[in-house]
Amino acid sequence: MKWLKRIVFASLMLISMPMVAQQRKEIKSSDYTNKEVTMADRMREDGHIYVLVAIIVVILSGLLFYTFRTDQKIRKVEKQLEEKE
Amino acid sequence: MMRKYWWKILTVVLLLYTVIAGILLKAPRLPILHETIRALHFHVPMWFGMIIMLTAAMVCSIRYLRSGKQKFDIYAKELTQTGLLFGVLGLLTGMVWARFTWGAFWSGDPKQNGTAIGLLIYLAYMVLRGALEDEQQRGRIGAVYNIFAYAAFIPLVFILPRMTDSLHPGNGGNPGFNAYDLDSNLRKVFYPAVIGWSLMGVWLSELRIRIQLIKQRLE
Repeated sequence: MKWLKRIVFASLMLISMPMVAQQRKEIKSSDYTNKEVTMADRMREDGHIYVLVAIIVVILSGLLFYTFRTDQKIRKVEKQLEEKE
Repeated sequence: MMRKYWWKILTVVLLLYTVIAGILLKAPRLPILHETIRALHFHVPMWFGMIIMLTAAMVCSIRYLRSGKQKFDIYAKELTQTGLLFGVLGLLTGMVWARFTWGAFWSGDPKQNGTAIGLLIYLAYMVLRGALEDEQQRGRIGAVYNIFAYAAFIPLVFILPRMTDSLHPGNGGNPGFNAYDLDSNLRKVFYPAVIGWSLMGVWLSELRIRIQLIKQRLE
């Protein structure tokens, strides 16, 4: 798995190169304060956004925990197989 | 024990950070994008993850051809499969986003078409493998095909769409994620998001690889 991590690292480096090379518009501080572009400001002021975040976090944690448990179960089978051989 | 688990814990932490900070942190107010700029932390990492896994799969295929070790064939197959999953998710999230910004789920944009063709090429890799019974034959033909698929996929996704006008943000004067230099606020979430989602893909591939290796030992 060591080489796999190396590939991941190398790929990240490679992919990030064009991001540096291309010429792009800069995001100015006025882009944060303008009022012409509508955003979900109301939802943020109301605090409803936190309900949404909480729901997403619960579901994501559940799925990640489930993946973690699956990982441990596979490890168990691997150990059993090793003892058998 | 901890040595093997640390990067999985890192995955969990990065992904939880991504959804919380990705939704709550300040984002620039840009025309056309509006609040959908936050898709940057979810849609774009799918492509990063996909490319990383497909690259790793291609390297595995080469290693398989050079060494003939069965495990590299298993690595290549499972990494490609997770890469395909990420690609399909990226395409679907892109379509949903396109429906509300470009007006249609599919507008035959070079970027969309290129990606769809590329994914079909990889789908054919799975079909090809499924059609071959003999393990060695499947491994060799599959590996050769996989290397060619990668060579066809990269220009389809990265080069051809850039040579024509595209609706996609960053192409043809269209404002969007790529047209803007990501500022420090977006980077704060975007980089962890890319690493987190990519690691998630590697994790899922690893689980499936281990199942295949167990299966192989049982035979």
